[in-house]
Amino acid sequence: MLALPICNAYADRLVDNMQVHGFVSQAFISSSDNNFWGETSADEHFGFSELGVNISAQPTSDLHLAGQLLARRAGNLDDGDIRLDYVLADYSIMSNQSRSLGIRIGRILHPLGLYNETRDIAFTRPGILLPQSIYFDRTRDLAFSSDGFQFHGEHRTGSNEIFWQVGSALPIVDSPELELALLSNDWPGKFEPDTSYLGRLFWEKNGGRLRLGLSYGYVDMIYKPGLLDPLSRGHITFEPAIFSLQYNEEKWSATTEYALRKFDYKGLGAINDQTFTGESWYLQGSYRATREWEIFARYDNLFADKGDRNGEDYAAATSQPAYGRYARDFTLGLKKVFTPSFMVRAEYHQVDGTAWLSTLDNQSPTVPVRKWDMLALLASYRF
Amino acid sequence: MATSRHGMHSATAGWVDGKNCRKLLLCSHAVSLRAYLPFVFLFFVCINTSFAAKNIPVIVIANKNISEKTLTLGAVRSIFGMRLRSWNGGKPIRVFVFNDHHPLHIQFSKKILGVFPHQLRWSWDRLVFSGTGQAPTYVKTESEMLEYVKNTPGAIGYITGGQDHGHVKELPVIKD
Repeated sequence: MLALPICNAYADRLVDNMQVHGFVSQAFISSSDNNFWGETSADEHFGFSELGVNISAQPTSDLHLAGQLLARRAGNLDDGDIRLDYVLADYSIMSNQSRSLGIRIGRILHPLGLYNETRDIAFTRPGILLPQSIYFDRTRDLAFSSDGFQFHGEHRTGSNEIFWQVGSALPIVDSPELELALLSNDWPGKFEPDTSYLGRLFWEKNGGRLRLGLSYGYVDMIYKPGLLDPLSRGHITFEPAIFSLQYNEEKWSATTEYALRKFDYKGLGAINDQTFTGESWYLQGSYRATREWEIFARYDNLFADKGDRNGEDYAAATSQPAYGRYARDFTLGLKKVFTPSFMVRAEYHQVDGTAWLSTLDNQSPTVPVRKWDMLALLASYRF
Repeated sequence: MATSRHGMHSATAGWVDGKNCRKLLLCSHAVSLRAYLPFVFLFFVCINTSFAAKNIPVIVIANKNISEKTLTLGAVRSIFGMRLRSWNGGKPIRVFVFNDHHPLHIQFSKKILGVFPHQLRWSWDRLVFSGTGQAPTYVKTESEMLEYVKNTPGAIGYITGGQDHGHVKELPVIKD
């Protein structure tokens, strides 16, 4: 009986500061030759849509609870089934005006670079597509979230702030595109997650006027062979390191990120043990001309193997085209903000190379071709 | 059966060469140097650009039940950045703001916090959509702001200076 009033107070507070937010986006994409998010070079132009709803509450001042459901259609990569993006409890171990320390437990978004955690929210992206050299859509699930724990902290002195996160988790490795991306084939076996680590350190000056950050991950997957599998049980580890730099003015922002992505294949039997490192970088500028209109430009560069940037060694060894090993994407975009909740974007991509194209969306024998372009439109609403 | 390192990352579908530039929407590919021109444009043409800010005096106000008498700039930034959740002593902080385009919000962001509204918005969106924080509560008018801050324990907000705010507490911001 005594517990009842306390429970009620707790429930009141839970409801009192509960928040529900969400977003819905639909894209139109038309491309030449190659496909992105559906048969966009033919007649499937509306293959991408996303709908997300999240809920959060702070039942006490040191406890934060949150979860988000997402339905996402993306060509042959995502079928629109509802999934749990994240669900977590965040306990604040200490917090005052100059520092804080906390721990999150649950399905947590990966702290990678400037955009990974908010990659699905059109309003927080600098364009319709994120720079694909770093924020690959074909391996989204692996990059996005995992089940585990994360310590996080902040330190503030004067105009300087330091943010950090360090965590350990089991990555999500069950998407069909992942095997195609990492093993070139849909083999009889499957991946299982192994303990992985992720961390990020950001320094911000004047409330984010200048941002400088470093993210690092050690992601471990086990390949478990299936029936009559030519591959044996082995590991693939993936170690991304991303350097981020952003400068913000009232009307313009300039952003660059540079990433090294190290892959290590061990014990897979029919696939030789090997180590190689991919390299990615982009330069991006956006200009808020008025409250309603923004333009942006980006040059994005991906090399699948920085020891073979033009892909020629690869082409010689496999008789596959060299342009599958790189991609240079030049993008120009326009954003029109109708209200703080509704916006429309248009962007044009001119791409040389196919390294970030998904295999599932490009299965016809006539694709992919080296030089291609793409026009994308997107409308997005959030609440 | 052995696959070399170059067997990685290729597509399973057959790749056909020599079909470049077949039906590009805009068929020209001088990507290398031309790609940088827009950046040059952005950096050099658009540097001297700030929205004309009307000089409205703006002050930070809080509910009378909190014990703080002043706030450091770092603290007020992390409170309105929605990252500091409780006052000294553990009372939860409740943040009230006007919408992104409200002149007082623009003035408050730039003059008190020293950040641009688009930066605040980006921070809030990151928190809300990554499950790591909550959004502030929006109010429409200054009388609504005064009413909410007066009646909500732990509340903080801002109003135009020089008006009667007897039922709420003014919190001077100290540069730290």
